Amino acid sequence: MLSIFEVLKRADEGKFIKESDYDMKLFRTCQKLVKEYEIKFDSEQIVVGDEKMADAVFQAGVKLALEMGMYQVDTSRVIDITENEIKLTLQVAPKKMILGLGRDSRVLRARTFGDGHPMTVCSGCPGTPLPEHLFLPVMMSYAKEPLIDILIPGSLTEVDGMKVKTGGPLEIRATRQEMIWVREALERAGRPGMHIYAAGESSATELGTLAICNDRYMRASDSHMIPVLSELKTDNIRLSRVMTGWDYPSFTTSLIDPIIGGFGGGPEGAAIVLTAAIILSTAVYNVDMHCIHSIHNKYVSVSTKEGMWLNSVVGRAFGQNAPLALLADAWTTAGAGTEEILYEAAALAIEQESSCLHTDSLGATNGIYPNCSGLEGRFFAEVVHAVHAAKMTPDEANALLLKIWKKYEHGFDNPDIGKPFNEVYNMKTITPLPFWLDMYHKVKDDVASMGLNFLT
Amino acid sequence: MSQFENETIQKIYDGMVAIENDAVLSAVDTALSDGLNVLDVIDVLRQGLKVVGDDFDKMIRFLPELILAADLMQEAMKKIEPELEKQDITEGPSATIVLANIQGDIHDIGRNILGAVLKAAGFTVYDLGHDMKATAIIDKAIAYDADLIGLSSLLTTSLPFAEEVIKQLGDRDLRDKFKVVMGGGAVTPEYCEEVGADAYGKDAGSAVNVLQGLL
Ligand code: B12
Repeated sequence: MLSIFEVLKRADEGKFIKESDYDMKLFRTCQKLVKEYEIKFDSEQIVVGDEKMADAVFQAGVKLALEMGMYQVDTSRVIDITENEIKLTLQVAPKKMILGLGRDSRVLRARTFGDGHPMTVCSGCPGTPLPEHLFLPVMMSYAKEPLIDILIPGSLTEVDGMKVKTGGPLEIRATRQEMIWVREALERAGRPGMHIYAAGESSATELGTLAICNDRYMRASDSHMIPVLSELKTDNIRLSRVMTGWDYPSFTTSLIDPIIGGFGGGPEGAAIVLTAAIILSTAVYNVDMHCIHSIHNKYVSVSTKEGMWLNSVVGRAFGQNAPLALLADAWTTAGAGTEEILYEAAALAIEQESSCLHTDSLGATNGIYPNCSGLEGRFFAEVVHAVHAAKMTPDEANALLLKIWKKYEHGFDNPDIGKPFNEVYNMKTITPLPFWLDMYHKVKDDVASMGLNFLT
Repeated sequence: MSQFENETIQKIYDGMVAIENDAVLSAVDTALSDGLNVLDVIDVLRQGLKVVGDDFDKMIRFLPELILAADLMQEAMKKIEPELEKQDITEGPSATIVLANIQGDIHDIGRNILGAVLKAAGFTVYDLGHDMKATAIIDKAIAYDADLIGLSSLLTTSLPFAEEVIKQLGDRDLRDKFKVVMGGGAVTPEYCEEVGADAYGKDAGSAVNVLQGLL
């Protein structure tokens, strides 16, 4: 890891390159590395068991990180890192963290194959714009689920009936209010010490994040998020968040969104980009953990075959070579109140649990509509624990995933976004409405009939 | 395998499919000096470009290739335009659009794709980048004598700045001068109607038709 001062120095003094030239260089380098390391996406092998290919992805990712460095768009300069710095970074990166407080705390591990521990399940509605009247009840629906270990907030887009504007005074108020309500949700669910992951989702600049650096809002036991701009880039706002985390004691997580079909190329190139971005952000951002979120350039959803393969191969690459705490996003096309979201959840849970990953939550309707609820989070966690208990091989996990895939693949071109929270949950008791609960039981029985033994 | 009888036309097609700038541009020069039908030349450029676009849709080729191919198309068109003028032919939508992500929003992947697709469809595109303020967007639209302003917004909390563009166009007596089209995850057709935008674009593919419909 580099000190923030060294990062800033390199961001000012590193080599100059035009952004479009950096992008094209990235593309060419990825194309070359995909060939050189013989990396191949296989649409029938989504859960990757190929150890050699995972190693190749890791090595190619290291090469890319060394070749490209991280680009600072505000200075048009490259923050280069050396091979030794990469080695040291990976060596000292946290391998085990206690997130949250007291009895509600959970261990987050840098997972390795065969370590005997299931993933830590994060759930919520990551960054999803929520109106004021839904914010608290939606958060409570997750806090009430016992299998959910840590919670990620949505973003609050209005305050006192006023629209929040990015980077303005209301961003401060919204981000603080977000934290007050998430905390209240946790208290009301009897889990006051639960870890809040990516605290301050209502902040799109550094303002909101800075505004919650106070025990009343974001505690040392919570974490906040520092995005890497796609691909391998940063800017003053993101580096200001790094500085915010430098002497504030909460945990920090990256957010990395490699675009499949973008400047890295197809799934193979995007896998190399993601690997490089994880390495670079560990070194440059000094983050403790990573949120990895593969983007399909047509459907966005992580539940595409390309998206799941990408997560899986990169999870295995780090699990085998340099364990880090990786929380993969599990974003779906469908929304709450549909069978499809439950099948998408099951496929993603199988893939992530089998690939040395944790989850950074389902993201219903790709984080766009408030059509989300704790119930699909419960189902995701149940699948995770069933897969873990079954000690599935990658091939077994893959076979099950492919069966489930057939149940939702039709949804990409014609998404069923389901219903908003208040139409799938009782708003007073914060429990699922009967139709939604029935749907959950139906899908759970169906997945069980495909060969998964649920623990509960 | 060649599918065109004329060798130069074949070269243009092959070069476009392979995105080889020198090959395409010199073949276009040859075509023009040999007096080939300019509309045939434009047509074959489009056919080649369509192959790249289809490959992009199928994820055989990727965003940088789409951008390079669209840029190549524009360069080739620059060579062809004087000939079109000479022959008094009007071709395609020669409309100009400024594209931007509004203030506070750095999500640029969708805008990049859109820009490339619009260029490929014959629009003159000025990509203003991201995190753009309303005043600057309008000033640029005036400077480039644009017909259209395209706003991309993925952040709900940046939407008020999109509204500001429309409001400011009114305040500056410019509302009739530009058509405003919006897209990106935070935007819906209902929202566009509510704030008085001229159109909504769900994705880059449908945006071409939407924009052509506005002209
Ligand atoms: C990738 C991504 C990122 C990347 C962006 C990388 C980059 N260089 O663009 C990174 C990691 C940097 C990022 C950061 C953040 N993100 Co973000 N991000 C996304 C994500 C997952 C995908 C966007 C994408 O690239 N899609 C793929 C492209 C191809 O699709 P598209 O953009 O929709 O574009 C297509 C169409 O919409 C259309 N189109 C687009 N624009 C236009 C314009 C016109 C005129 C027309 C006609 C058509 C059109 O054509 C395009 C091509 O077909 C979305 C989720 C989502 N569902 O969109 C969240 C999302 C937009 N992000 C979100 C958030 C909250 C953030 C952060 C605040 C996170 C944080 N805590 O810091 C920051 C904000 C940074 C900022 N100030 O802007 C939220 C926004 C919620 C909201 N509505 O307000 C979303 C919805 C996800 C979520 N729920 O968290 N993000």
